[in-house]
This record gives sequence, C-alpha cells and structure tokens, in this order.
Amino acid sequence: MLRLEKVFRVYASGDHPIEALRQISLELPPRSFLAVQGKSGSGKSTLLNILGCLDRPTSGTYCVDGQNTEDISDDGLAALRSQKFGFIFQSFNLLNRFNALENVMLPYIYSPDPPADYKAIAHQMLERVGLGSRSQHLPGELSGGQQQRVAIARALVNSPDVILADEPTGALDSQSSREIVDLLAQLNIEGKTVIIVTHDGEIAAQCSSVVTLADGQVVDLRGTLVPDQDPKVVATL
Amino acid sequence: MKKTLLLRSVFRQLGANLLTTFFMCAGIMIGIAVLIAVIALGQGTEARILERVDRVGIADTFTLRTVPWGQGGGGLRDEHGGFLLKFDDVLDLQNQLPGIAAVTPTLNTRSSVGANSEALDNISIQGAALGFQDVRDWNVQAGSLLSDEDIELNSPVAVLGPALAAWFFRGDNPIGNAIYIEDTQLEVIGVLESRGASGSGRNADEIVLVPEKVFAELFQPLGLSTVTVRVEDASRIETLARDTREYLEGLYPGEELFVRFPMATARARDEMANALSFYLTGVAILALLIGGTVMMNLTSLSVSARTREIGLRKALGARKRDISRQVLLETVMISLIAGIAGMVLGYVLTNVLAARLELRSLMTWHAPVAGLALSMVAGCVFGVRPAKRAASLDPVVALRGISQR
Amino acid sequence: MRQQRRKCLSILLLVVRVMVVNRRRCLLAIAGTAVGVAAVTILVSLGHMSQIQLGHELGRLGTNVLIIESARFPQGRSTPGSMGATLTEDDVASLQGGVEGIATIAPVMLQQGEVSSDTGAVRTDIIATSTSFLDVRGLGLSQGAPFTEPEIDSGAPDGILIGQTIVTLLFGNTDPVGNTVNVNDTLFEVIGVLEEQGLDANGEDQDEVVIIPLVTAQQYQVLGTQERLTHIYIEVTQAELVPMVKESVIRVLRAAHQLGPDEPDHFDVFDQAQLLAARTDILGSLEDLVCVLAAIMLIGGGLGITAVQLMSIRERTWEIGLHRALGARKRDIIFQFLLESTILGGLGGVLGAVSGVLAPLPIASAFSLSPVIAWPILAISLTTGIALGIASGVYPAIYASRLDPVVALRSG
Repeated sequence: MLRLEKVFRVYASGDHPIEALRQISLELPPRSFLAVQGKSGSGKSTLLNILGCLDRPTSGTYCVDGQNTEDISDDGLAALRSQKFGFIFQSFNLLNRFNALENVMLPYIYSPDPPADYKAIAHQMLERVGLGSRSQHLPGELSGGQQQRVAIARALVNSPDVILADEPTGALDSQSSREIVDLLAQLNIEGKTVIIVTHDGEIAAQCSSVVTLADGQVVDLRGTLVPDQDPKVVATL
Repeated sequence: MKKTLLLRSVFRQLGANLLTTFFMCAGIMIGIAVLIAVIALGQGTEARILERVDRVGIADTFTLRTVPWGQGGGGLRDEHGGFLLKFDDVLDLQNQLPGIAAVTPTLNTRSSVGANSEALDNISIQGAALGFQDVRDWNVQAGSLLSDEDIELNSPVAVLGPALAAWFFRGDNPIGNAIYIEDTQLEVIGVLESRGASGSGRNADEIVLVPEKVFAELFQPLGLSTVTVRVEDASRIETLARDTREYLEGLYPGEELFVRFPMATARARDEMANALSFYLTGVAILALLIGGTVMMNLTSLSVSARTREIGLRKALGARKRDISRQVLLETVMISLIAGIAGMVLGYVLTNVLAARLELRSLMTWHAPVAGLALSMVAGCVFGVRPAKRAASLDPVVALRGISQR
Repeated sequence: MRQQRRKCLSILLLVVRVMVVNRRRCLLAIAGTAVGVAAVTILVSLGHMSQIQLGHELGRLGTNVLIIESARFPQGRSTPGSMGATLTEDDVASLQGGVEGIATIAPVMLQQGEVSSDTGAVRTDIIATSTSFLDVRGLGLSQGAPFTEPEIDSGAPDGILIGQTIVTLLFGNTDPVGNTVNVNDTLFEVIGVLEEQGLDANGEDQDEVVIIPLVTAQQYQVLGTQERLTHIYIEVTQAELVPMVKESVIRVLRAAHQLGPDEPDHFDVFDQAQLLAARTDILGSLEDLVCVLAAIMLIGGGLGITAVQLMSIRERTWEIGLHRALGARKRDIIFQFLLESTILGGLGGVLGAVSGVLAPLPIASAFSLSPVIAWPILAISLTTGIALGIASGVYPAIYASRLDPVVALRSG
C-alpha cells in the first residue's frame, strides 16, 4: 500500500523555486496497475522517483505500507529500494561489460539476505522474461527490447511488490514496446503493483488506471486501480 | 571561417566540460609544478654542495710560481734560481682574464714568534695583500680580520691562528695584546677560526697573518715568486690555470711558470658533481614519469568520458580527422593554459619551500619546457588515440552514450 | 553479522568484477600509484647511494683522518724549538688494542731533510712510516709499487716513494723508478711515485714529500738519533665516529703515558674540523633534499591520483545512481569506492615497491655504485601506496555517496 498525502516537491532554483509536484494525494492499494501520463516537465518522473524512494517529498507525507518515509533513514530507504521496489529505466541502465546474467544478479549485492541459490533465481528471472538462452550475452549483443527485458529481470530478482518503470518503451520500436508492456501487464496479473510513466496513450490504455499530471498537479484520473477491488483513489485538485 | 568555428567549438567544449577541464588542468599544473620545484631545488642543492666542497677544499684556488717547489718561503729569495714577478702584473690578472674571482700574491715564510716573554720557533707567517681575503675566505672566532686600511696603511697588527692564541695567552683574551716577530711589536686584532690539521700533518692553526707591507719590512722579499688565484667556476680551474700561466709567461718572455692546483679536491669535486647530476637526472626522470602517468590517466579518462559527444559529432558529419584535430587542439590548449599556470605554481612552490626549509633553488628553463612538452606529448599519445577509437565507433553505438562505460 | 559479511563479500566480488571489466582504466590507475611509489623508493634509494658516494669522496679528502701530534709546543715552556717527541710505537699498539673504530693506523716520523739525486737537491718533508700510511691518507701510486713488509723488516734494499713535485725537480722527464736518491746521506732506491695530490685545503703542496720505511729510518738513523714518533695517523671507520674515537684516543694515550689528572696532554689530536663540518653540511643538505623531493612527489602524486579518481567517478556517475536505485546505501557506495581505491592502491603500491627495490640494482651496477636498497623505504612506500590509494579515494568516495541518485541516474 503506497499513500501520498499533500506531497510537494520543490527544487531550489535561484529566486524562483520550481514546484515539480504540487499537493499530490494518491493512494495505491496492492496490485495496482497505474499509468502516469503528462507532458515532459509535468512532474511524472519526479512522482515516480518519490514513489520509488529515490527522492523525498519537500512537504507532505508518503507512506509505504503504513510507514511514513519521513521516519525512515536513508539506509532504510535503500533497504526499501532493494526489497520493495524494482526499477526499470528508459535507457535500460545495464552495465555494458557485464553479461545479462551478471546484470540481473546485481541487486543481490545490496539485499540484506540473498538466497543461497541466487544464481539459479537470476537465471529463472531471465527465463521468465524469455531470455534464458541469452544469459551470457553482453548488452551490446542484445536488441533494445531484449536489453529492456534483462532490466525487467533485474528488477524482479528480489521479488519486489512494486515495479516502477520510467518510460520503459521510450527507446524501443513498437513491436518491442508491445512485448514489454505485455510483460509488465502479466506481472500485474501475478500480483505486483506496476507503475508506468509514459506519454504513450496506447500503453496508458492497457493500464487499469491512469493519472495525468500537468504542472505538477493531478489533472485527470481514470479507471480502477485494482480490477477486483473498489477503486480507492484520492486525487486532490 | 571553418577554423574560427572549430576554435569556438573547442572553447565551448572546454567550457561545457568545466569539471573535466579543471581536472585536466589541475593534473598538468601539478605535474609541471612538481617538475619545476624538484629540478630547481635539486640544482640549488647541487650548487650549494659543490660550493661547500670548493670552499672547504679550496677547489677553486690554484697557485702559480716561478720555482717548481718551495713549501713555504714564496717570495723570500730567489735561491732556487727562479725569476720574480712584479706586484702590478699580479694584481692586474683579475682585469686581464675573465673568470678570475680574486688574485693575491703569496707571501709566506717561517719565523719565530714571541709574546708574553715566551717564543715559538718555525711558525708560518703570511703576508696579506689586498685580495687576500677574497682568495682565502677565512673567518675569525674573535676580533676582526685585517681591514683594507690595515693592509694599505701598513698598520702594525696581526691575526693569530687559534693554536698560537691558546698557547701564548692561555685562556686570556689575546685581542689588544702584543706579539713580536723579529723584534717588531704587532698588536693582535683577531683570532682565526680553527681549521684543524691539513692532510700533510701540519697544524693549520699555527699561523700569523700580517699586512703585506709589514711582511715586506720584516723579511724584505726581493719580489714575488708565488701568486694565488681564485676562479669563479671551480670546474674550469685547469683551463684558467693554463691561460693564466700563458698570459704571465707572455709578460716575462723566456721564463717558465709552474702551476699547482688542488687535484685531490678537484677529483673529489668532479666525482661528487657526477654523483649529484646523476642523481638529479634520475629525479627529473622520476618526476617526469609521475607527471606523465597522471597526465596519461587524465587524458585517457577525459576522452572516454566524451564518447557520446564524439558520436554526436560524427552524426553531425564530422570526419575522423576532424575529431582527432579537435582533441589535439583541446589538448594543446589545455596544456598551454595549465602549463603556464603550473609554471607560476612551481615558481611559487619552489620559492616558498626554499625559504621555509632553507634550501637553495636554481631555476632553469629546462624544467618548464620539458614539462610542457611532456604534457602535450602525453595529450597526443593518450588523448588522440582513444579519440580516434571513439571516432571509429559506430555513431549509433557511441550515441547510446552509456555503451562505452 | 553473517549477513553483513556476505554483503561485504559480494561487494568485494562486484568491485573485483568491475575492475576486471574496466581493466584499462584500472591498469592506468595502478600504474599511477606504482609509478608514484616506485619513484619515491628509487628517489630515496638513489639519494642514499649518492650520500654514500659523497661521503666516500669526502672521506678521500680526509674526513675520517685523525692526526695525533707529539707536543708541538714543549710542555715545559722552556726553550723554543725543542720538539719533544712523546709518541712511541707502543702507543700505536695500545691505540690499536684499546680504541674501537680505528680502521687503519700509521706511525709517522716527520722531518724536513735533504733529498738529492745526481742532478740536484731539495729540502722537503721526509715521512718515515709504514705502508698503512698510504691507506690512511688515501694515497695511490702513479708508478711503481709501495714497499712491502719484508723490505721493512729486513731494512735491506731501501725503497723510497716520492711525490710528483720532487720527481719533476730531481728527475725532470725521465722515469725515476729504479733510480737512487740520497736522503740525509742514506741511499734509497725509488720504487714508486705518489699520485699527484696538488694543493691541500691550506694551500700547501702535498706532492713535495718523500716516504721511507720507518724501520729503515730508525735502523740507519736517517732522521737523527731520535727514535720516537712525531705523529700517529688514524683512519676512523666512519666519519660519524670521529669525535668518539678522538676522545678514546686521548684517554688511552693519557693512560699509556701515565699522565696524572692535573698534567696537561703532551700531544695534540687533530681532526679535520673544516672537512667534518662540511661533510655534515653537505650530507645534511642532501638528506633535506631527498626528504623534500620525496614529500613533493608523494603529495604531487597523491593529488594526481585523487584527480584521476574523481574523474573516473564522474564518468561513472550514472552507475552510482543505478546502484542507489538498486538499493545500495550510502555506506555501500563509500565502501565500494574505498575498496576499489584500496585494491588499486595496494596493487600499485606492491608493484611500485617491488620495482622501486629492484630498479636501483641495475642502475647501481651500470654506474658502479654500491647499491642501497632502502628496506625501511620499502615498508614506508608500501604503506604510503595503500594509504595514498585510500586517502585519494576518500574524497571521491564521499563525493560519490553524496550524489543525489536521481541526478546521478539522469546524467547518462
């Protein structure tokens, strides 16, 4: 359960601080499938960073599973990022000279208690995204879509509850994009909360709910957050 | 037109990667400053050490005499059949031959000396003419040396070696007391610092120093048979000794002069100079190595940090040659700017260190030039090559940016 | 605890993996430290080698020589000129037995005398001594050979060594070896010519000298009926020991001569005060120079390595952002970068220390110097190398950990 309450994110910038997020209130129950839409500069990436505990609100509260992130130390947030969240980036952010399997195993370094058979699990994850046969390939030897799937496998190894994807298809052709979104949808069906930042309406349409941002505020809210539950979204305009 | 564009883009690039540029500059600056400081301090120390050797071993002093031997009695009698030199010819040497620091006629004999109604035999008496103290920089431990007035005005004064002062006056202050040489009374005005024994076993502290005219009145030499010359550069002593001999032999046709110089000291000095310059060469090479390694690191990093930018340039139509040229220009530009800053830093560093640590320093143009050349060579070798490699990458791959991490 | 260890281990593995992957960059960084450490080690080793060489050269000028002179001035303060020779060959023996730090010792009778050949005669210094005198004074021969022990013992075919000035005077350009000279009316055969020394530090000609065996001099009373020594020459093993040896010499001689506490010495002991002061000065300035240069190089090298580290971190900013997004804590990042710089510094340090120790050896043999391996410096440079690595990694590591992950990630 992720809950934002009157969250502001203000960047100090000379005399005129920039308000990237303004009074966002949002509640995401488990197994949500949310798209965040908006023009560039509307604050969607900032929102995602806050949701993923990479960034903290300037004011307002953000609670993860009922715990106020304000009360969590930097190390605690790092632990959350390690266990609770999985990140997917537009530019994949794979270590270029590490092969696919090594890239997938990367998060284990920072997890407090990695399983003994972590290598097998990493391999399973690669198989799960359809790249079981490519585990020894370097990112440079894979297509864009395949690289993004490696990134997804990497996001999955610590079995996070929440997958955060920042423009995951931005650098991909439409065929690969579809495959990636299908994969993310599949993950949601399997029980994970998936949050996708995108400006692609088609992708947004596949999500069960869509939040649209403009100038740091929620201007539109559609759909249900969890298909089989009552929608419980509060957006303050 | 194209050139100005290239130049402008170079400057832009340097400005845009301010931090990278700064690190590059800092690295080169440190390298050149270290090189300058190391070499300047090294050469300063070398000069100081050799000067010290020259001073203690009088490696910069030779004697010319009209007789082939004669341990003491220079100028007393021409008993060995030598001819005699004229005073003026001797003093004129300094004006005639460049490289001569000081000249003094040597007036030397052995005689008995008395004081406190006691007497000692066979004591070295030396007459000091003008220039004596420039040739022999002896110091006093008490009182004063003979002044120019003492020497010119024929004052009845003497400076004692410490052994004599101790023997005659036994702990009392000898200054102001009288000593007697050949029944002539002289006032003691100073006591020399101890110089200990010479290698030949004579005690150098048994000596009386009197003004030249006092010496002349006492012992009435017929003229000069020995002259002592101090040269400016001890390493040229042999050449100067030969020149001086030839010059004087020209003034006295048909006569032969004999040169003696401190060979043992000169040999030791040469060996020490060799050892020191060997060491300093080694040190300079080491400093260049350090600077070179840092520069090589920085250049290689700064280029690989820019793979993406190079990809972009290629995408915009830059040829490999253009990219090499740009990197080259940047390197030269950075090397120059940082090199000059490094020279200033090195100069300041050297002077501060030299002043603080009481070291001597000696600046030459070699160090900064070598440093600059090194930084440019390092820039070209370690900058242009990776740049070429980056330029030969598929622009799409390079543009993907992170691909070259 | 176990978790912690496992985590550290996995970070270590990651760091090693990252380093292997980025070998080029790492090799450069290792080269940087190695060159720095090696440079400092070599600098100090060569410095010590130069110091030893300078000390050796100064020693040849006589820094290590102590000269004991019979009371130059008569203690009775009676008549002038009565040179009271007070030293004996027994003194030589007691000094040899009773004083530590003596390398060589030579009994000397020094007097002016007349040396003549068929062509001329000169008054000059005559030194009656043993062959060890040549060692003490560091005198070599330009021709011939020194007298050997049997000759001294037998005293029969009397050899004489003469200085170059005497050669010029008595023999001109002809070869003096094998010719005969008269010394105070005793016939000697010239068996060697002393290497030219030139003027000494007091401006006196050291080549106006002849050396005869002490045994001969005593046997034929070449220097008069007096059998006592005028001087004893001592070469001390190390210049540093000169003051100590000087003290012991005085103590031993006073005891040997049974001088009471109130009686003054009837001998003088001279050291080469000026030369010794110069030696202290010269070796001191060289030591200062070596230290300052080593410090400058260490600091310069350290700054250089820090700049390189910072730049390499700048280049990897996004990577740090990624690690942060994957759950790395600040201290994981610090640990990671410090570990990296420690490994690089350690490898570079070891490499540098090894080459720093080995490099002076061929240099020494190539230039025929006595090689000095500065073993303490090996330890120091190893420690410095690693310390330098860590120190130059501290700022970059903290810098890296403070990077805002969001900003870091964006800096693709």
